[in-house]
Amino acid sequence: MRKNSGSSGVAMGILLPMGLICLFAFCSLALALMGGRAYKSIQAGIDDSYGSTVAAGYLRTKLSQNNERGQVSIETEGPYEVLTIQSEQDDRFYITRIFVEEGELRESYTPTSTPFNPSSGVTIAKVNECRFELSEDGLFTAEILSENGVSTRTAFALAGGGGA
Amino acid sequence: MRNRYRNVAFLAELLINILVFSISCAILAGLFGQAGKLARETREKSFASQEIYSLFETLRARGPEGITQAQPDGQDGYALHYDEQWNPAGGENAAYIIHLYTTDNDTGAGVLREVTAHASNNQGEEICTLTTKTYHQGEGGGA
Repeated sequence: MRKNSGSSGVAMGILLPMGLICLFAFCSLALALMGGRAYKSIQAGIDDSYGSTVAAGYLRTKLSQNNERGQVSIETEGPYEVLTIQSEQDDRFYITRIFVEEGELRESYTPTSTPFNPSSGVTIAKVNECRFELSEDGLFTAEILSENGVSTRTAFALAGGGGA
Repeated sequence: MRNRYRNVAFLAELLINILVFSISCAILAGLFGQAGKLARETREKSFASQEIYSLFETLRARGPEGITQAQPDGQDGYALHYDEQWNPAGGENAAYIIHLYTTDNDTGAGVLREVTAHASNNQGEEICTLTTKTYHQGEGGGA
């Protein structure tokens, strides 16, 4: 009898607290993993769309600021597909060139006479690829591929059919 | 006797700790779940509004006929289907649907076209609804 109560005392005194501590450790680990997974999914969602969303918003803003007949066109400069926007300031003509170089959407703003130089642009967003299209009815479309391979499309109806 | 009392006290303390931890766990697990859901909804809203904005611009430039992938939804509107990555998809594989409804109001000098876009997921849960109005001069006579 005495022996039995002794072994149940061991179970109560050592095994049960140990079991509870193990359960506690397991729950802590599960909670930490769940938190990590939630954070990872939030971050992945942001990363997926960040570059392409920024680029799409930027293109739309740029086009709505310069939405006049014949100002916008798409040109090919060597391997680069360049969105060009002509503007006039103090009787001088300037050209804004938007293109993708080394995984970055870049913009350069220079006098019209300055030749295209891909390394001179200012970085706008990190994107893999950006395909521009300007149709005769004035619909500008861009398909932007983010660093993570997520594609975003944007369109803008230009006044007077653009200048392509 | 004293030893036994000490054991019981230790167990009670442990149980209280675990109880407090379990409550915290339940609250935190709920919060993590909510954060994940919010992130997903934010992403859906961002992509849906981006797509709807593009559709509005296409409509402005080309009219309803210009949206080639649109299919009549049987409710006087058009439906456009998209996959998980918001790429155009067939109706069966669609994770998201955008319904477009256009109403043309003849103003005499032209047409005021009101377009409502309603984005939802394949479970029918609404993501967002946006409306725009465009004025088409000299197009009198309705749609």
